[in-house]
Amino acid sequence: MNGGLNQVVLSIAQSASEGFMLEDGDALASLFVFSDTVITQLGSAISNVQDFAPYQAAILDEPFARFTAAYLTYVRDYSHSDASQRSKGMYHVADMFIPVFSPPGRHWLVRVLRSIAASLYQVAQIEDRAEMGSSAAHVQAASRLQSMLMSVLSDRDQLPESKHMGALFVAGLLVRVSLKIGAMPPAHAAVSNVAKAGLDFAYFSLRDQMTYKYWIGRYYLVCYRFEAAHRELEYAFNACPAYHEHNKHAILRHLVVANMIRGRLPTHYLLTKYDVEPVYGFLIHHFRQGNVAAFQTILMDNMEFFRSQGTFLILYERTEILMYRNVLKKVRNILAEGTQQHRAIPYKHILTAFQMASRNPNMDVPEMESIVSSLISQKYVHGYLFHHQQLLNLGSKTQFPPIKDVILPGGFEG
Amino acid sequence: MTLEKNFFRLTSDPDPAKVRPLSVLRQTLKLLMKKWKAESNYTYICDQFKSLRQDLTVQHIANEFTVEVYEQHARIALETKDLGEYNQCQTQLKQLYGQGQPGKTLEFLAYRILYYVYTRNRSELNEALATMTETERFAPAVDHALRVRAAWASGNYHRFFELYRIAPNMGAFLMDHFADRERCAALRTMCKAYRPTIKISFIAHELAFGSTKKCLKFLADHSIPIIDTSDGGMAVDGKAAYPSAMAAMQKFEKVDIKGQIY
Repeated sequence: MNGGLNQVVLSIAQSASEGFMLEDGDALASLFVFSDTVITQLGSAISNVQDFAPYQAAILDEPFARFTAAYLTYVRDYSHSDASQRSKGMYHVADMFIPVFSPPGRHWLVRVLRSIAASLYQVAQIEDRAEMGSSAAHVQAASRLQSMLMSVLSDRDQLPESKHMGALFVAGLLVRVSLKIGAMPPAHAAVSNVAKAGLDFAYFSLRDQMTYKYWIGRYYLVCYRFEAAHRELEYAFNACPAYHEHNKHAILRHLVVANMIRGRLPTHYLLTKYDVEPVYGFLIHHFRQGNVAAFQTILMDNMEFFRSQGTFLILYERTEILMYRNVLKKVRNILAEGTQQHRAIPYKHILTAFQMASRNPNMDVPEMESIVSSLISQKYVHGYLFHHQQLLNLGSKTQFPPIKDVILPGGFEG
Repeated sequence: MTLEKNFFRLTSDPDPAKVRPLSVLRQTLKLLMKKWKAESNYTYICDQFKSLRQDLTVQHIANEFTVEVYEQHARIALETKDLGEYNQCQTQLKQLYGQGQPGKTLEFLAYRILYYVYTRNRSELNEALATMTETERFAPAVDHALRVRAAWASGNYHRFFELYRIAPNMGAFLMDHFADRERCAALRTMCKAYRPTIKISFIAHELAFGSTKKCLKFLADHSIPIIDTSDGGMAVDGKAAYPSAMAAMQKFEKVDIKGQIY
């Protein structure tokens, strides 16, 4: 009866049908595998099959039969396809999977969903790398991931027997893709939809929680929501097991930036322990010293690295004003030596300090005033400028509130 | 075949008899530039440019001439403050340059950075920075745009308006679109920081108004109270004017043009 049929395909179709009927997600996840090695081996075993239609008859559910055929086609063509063809095949697999996953009660397919979502991201990454930095494949992958997330979050069943179990994984991938291509709308939607769903994170594995927190921490950082970024990244850092040194290191790179903007600086010990690049140590040193010029020189010299981390603009834009605050505080401290408080600082002292810090002897009083008025306006310094008297008059109480206590403009505090 | 043709949005396949070939389109561009210089009728010129662009699109012509058409239309759109049209041209130019078509890439990269400052689009700015070569980064127009961005980001209004005064090419036309927003932001900062008063002449100079009269009109338009000083001049009372300066800035919290803000 089965003469002429490929026995491997037949066996897969029968196992798939059985797994589907028994709602055995684990069995299906072991069957629909996307790892390079497995696909290559399997592909050679089924390379002679032209048409999968005869095998689909073994599967009663039509959408599932179409998905299985799409998967087998992808596997068969994998080893002789280029990156672009592989992505297209994977998009087709994802497109065929969504109708299978969408009906109610199919939470047992979450493991298959995870495999497909992860594979979507991988093929997009490979294709865009092959296309010399294009982002077209990531955009395509993002569109499928968005559909998957919608399907996951629209489930009315309650955790843990719910499709919601796939939410953090898919949303994390979506945020990752957004950050990769520098287009934030998919990430905005993912983060806000997950928040709206009010998921109880306790049901999720530590790995899912940690990964999601890491990606949304990075997302908040790019959105200049530094307190939120600090909160999520710190959670991810603390939740990450010590033996995952590489992950700890990756989280710390971003946590250091989020914290620096809020005036919290890491110890040398912490940076050394997790082998964070020495450049962070130099930046922190100059930040503390208020050495604007040295800080920016280091930043520019390492522009490629910080751009790859997505933190170049953040560091460049948000640290300058904070360093001038530190310089001003130093001026106050020097002038206050021997006295309890020093409230009135002549412009000439501030100008000299700012010129030195920025290594810009051409900085004039109006530019210096502009910087100090920004500091006052953003509440990093409490005081007033008296232009006619050429004086900065500092407040009588907290003249330099801790940076972490200052609420940033535009709701950037998180 | 006539050189000029009105723009109609296509709803079906174009009629080949009505599509002007490249040789005609080259003459059309010359004619349009001549007419723009002579008449400056933007409604007419914009319509003609859109029709020209459409004829290029339907024939899949993407070469140095296409780039020139989009560049010229973008410049005219900037001059006439039509940012919507400018943005369409800019998007096309980004693609064309990406395909390796030659053009005034540095001039338009600088406009693009300024446009992102206008739309406060940090992700696009990040992308622009990420894809910039060393040569591009240190080109005068690009360097100027990056310095504008840095001044804007750090709230250094003094440096921002200094750069506004010396914007190369047509950068000042673009900066015009957010100059008032930055003036309001700067005024809010000044009102918060300066005591007791800020002289009008000082504000006019710092915020690049060009004249005290223009500065006074701007302040009046934004309901900023002005007081007479003992020396016969005029000034803004920082404390009294702060609420009005805050209210003035709130009008600019949203950008009503296509552009991502977060």
